[in-house]
Amino acid sequence: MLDRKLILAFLALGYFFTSLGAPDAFAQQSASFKAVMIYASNVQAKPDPRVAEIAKKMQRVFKFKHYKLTGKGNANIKVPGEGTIVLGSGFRLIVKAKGSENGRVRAQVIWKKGGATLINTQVVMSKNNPAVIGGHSHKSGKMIVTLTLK
Amino acid sequence: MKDNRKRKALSRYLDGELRGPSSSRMASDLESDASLQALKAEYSAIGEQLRDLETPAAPPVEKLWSDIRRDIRLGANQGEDLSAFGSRLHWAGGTVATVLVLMMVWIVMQSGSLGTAAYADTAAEVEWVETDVPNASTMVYLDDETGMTVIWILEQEEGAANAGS
Repeated sequence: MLDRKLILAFLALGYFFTSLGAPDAFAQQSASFKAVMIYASNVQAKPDPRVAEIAKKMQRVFKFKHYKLTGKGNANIKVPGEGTIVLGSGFRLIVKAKGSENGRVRAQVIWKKGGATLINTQVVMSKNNPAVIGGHSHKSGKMIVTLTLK
Repeated sequence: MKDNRKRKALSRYLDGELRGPSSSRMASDLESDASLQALKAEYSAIGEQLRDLETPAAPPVEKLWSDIRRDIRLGANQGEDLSAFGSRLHWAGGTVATVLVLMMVWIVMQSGSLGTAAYADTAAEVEWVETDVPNASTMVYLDDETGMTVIWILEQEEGAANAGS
């Protein structure tokens, strides 16, 4: 009888530790976001080494030849919670982290210029796979923002 | 021959099968005939032996109860032996349960980090998108090669010309 209680106690203890270790979809945690704003154009200019890596990828997707860093920022946001990343030149990203599950974060992302909303979207993001938000005309090119969950 | 007849008649007499004058005659013969008396004594002895064989002596009730009590005691002792062994089994079970629980904890913790690693190759998924830019629409494009998810504004003056390849 005592042994049975002992086994039950072990199992209960195991469940307790298991529940501690298991990823909980509703557990509060923080998510770290990194945003980089790039001006993409076809003007002749020296390559910007600060965005060399992402520019290489973008050249496979877009027709632009030149990519230049115009602003960047980070936000460490509690989930659920929201944060704003100011990118300069009147641009900013509002990130509303709504929940996380299995290392992925569901976030509403609002790209704003001044008071205007350029893009309002909801994305489920994985670590190190950027969401690329862009298309807003600027001078002779386009503004592009990459948002990455770190 | 005559002896045989006598013997059969005596046997029937002793078995109670002779009736009436035959039975009376056999009774008077038994009183006068010494050989018949000897035969009767012999039959009686054989009969006793047969009765002993047919009905073995029943054990006294006290002996029966003592046997039952002994059996119960033996059973209880065997049970004690088993429970002593079972106690060790329970401890072994407890140990195995602990190891299993620890393994479960380890696996869950590992799966958490593995899950993150597995999703690291998963592109961002767009659930919905909208824009407030007048006369503009949006486009979502997933590039398999780079793993980038592109959310693009298609502004009126340029349309889709500047968007992805």
